Amino acid sequence: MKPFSAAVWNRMVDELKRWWPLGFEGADAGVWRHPWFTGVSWNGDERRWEARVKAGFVNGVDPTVGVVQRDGSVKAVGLTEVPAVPLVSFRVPSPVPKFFVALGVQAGPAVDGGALLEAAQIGGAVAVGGLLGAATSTRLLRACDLVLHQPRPKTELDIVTDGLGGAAGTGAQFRVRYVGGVGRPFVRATSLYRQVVTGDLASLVQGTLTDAGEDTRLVATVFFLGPEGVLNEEVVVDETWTPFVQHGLFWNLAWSSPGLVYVPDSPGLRFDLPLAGGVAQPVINQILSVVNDASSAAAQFLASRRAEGRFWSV
Amino acid sequence: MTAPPDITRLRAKVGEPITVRKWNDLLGFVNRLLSQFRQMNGRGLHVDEQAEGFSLWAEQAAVSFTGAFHVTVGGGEIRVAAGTVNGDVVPVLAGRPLDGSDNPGRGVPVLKVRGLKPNEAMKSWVVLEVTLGAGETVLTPEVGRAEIKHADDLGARPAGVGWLPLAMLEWADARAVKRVWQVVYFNQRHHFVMKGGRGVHYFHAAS
Repeated sequence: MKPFSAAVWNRMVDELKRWWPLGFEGADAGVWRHPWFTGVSWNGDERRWEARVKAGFVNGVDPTVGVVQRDGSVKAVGLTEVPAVPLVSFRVPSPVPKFFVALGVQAGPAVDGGALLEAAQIGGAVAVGGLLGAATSTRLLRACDLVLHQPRPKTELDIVTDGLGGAAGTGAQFRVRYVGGVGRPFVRATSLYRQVVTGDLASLVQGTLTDAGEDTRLVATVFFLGPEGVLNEEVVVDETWTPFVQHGLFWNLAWSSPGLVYVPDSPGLRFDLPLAGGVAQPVINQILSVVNDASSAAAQFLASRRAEGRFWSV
Repeated sequence: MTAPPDITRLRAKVGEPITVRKWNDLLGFVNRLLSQFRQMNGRGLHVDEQAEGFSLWAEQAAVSFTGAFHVTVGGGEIRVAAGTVNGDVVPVLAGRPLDGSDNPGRGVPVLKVRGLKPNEAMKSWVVLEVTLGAGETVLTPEVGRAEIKHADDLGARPAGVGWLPLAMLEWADARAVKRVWQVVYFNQRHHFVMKGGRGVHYFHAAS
């Protein structure tokens, strides 16, 4: 075969030059974005995806992001400084949004995404591919969530028993305590956001459900669509994947907790128990029994003293 | 704007043989170009790699939006665009209605940056303060007032005064505002309730 001449080669280079981009600029540059707008980009140095959230505000304050410093310490940096949130932990989303099904991701069984993630962690890469890599699937999908956390006082119950109940029984006095305070909100990435639900009064008495001491909102879910044909072996979410952001917040927020205005010295909730004496477990069983009988009063008591706050748009 | 690799560097001199190395250089240029596309991935652009090549999807640009109480800083002045509370209460700024309706010939009122100061974190806020008459729970022009002020802290206000940050000001130094971060985009609804012996002011975006 006759080798290329320099002239032929240069014609090819010149033709390529005609189609060569003059420069790269983010398509979002200079465009108005709503608060909490989340952009995702690949950090080639750290070899990871990172999210940057346009500063949103809670009660006029921008939440922070924990940024790891060179010495390994973590510094809280406000969103107005546009810190990067590393996205390093992912789940296999389920159900798969139709948008991604149309792009070749198998819809998959309607099972819990967290369970799939755990299966993936146990079974390794091949297991993950197998879960989604059926005959009709041509690509993989991963997701993670960015979550707004608002630290607040935590509700705890004091139950004081005495011998002053009716008919020489035991009296049980419920008092609510608030532990901790209101902190600056912060944003964190997690593989799967689960909204914390504070338990009912009975659960609190039993200690089976605890108050997390924070309120949360989903800022955004980031989906990563894998390259076509990469199904079983390749599960690392790298720069060949395509990010898509589904936003959960669009406007700035106010937040308030009823616990902030509750007066701790107000009377507690009192039950008179027929059981004499103060042995722990029988007393709790009695309390639960009475709470069930007086569920309305108990629910009202707890509802009026819960520290769970709420967010709303301003 | 990021510049792509300059492909004209691959041009050959007259008589120069086209070697495998030259081909590999060309491949390297193409890979670097693809790498730069990937760096744009997620920044208003989706780079979707498929078996036959890759697609570029550009997101539609958002329509610009300012909304109510839009705060701007320029020429040593802070301006706050029109906004209302409870439908018909127009807040006052520097003693005049925010919309300048008391004297259209004078334009809208402004706050002078000179004399204001940020906190230690070089931040301050433009806030909406609502004061209600004793025993009142709903702000109307007759029973209270709404005023826009500058504040260098978000601490507690006097009893009976409710407040809402409209924007956060980020200062370059003690005299110049570097950037405005808008907090409120909507007209507001306000109500006052007593809880646990304390009064609480609530502000909501008006739909």
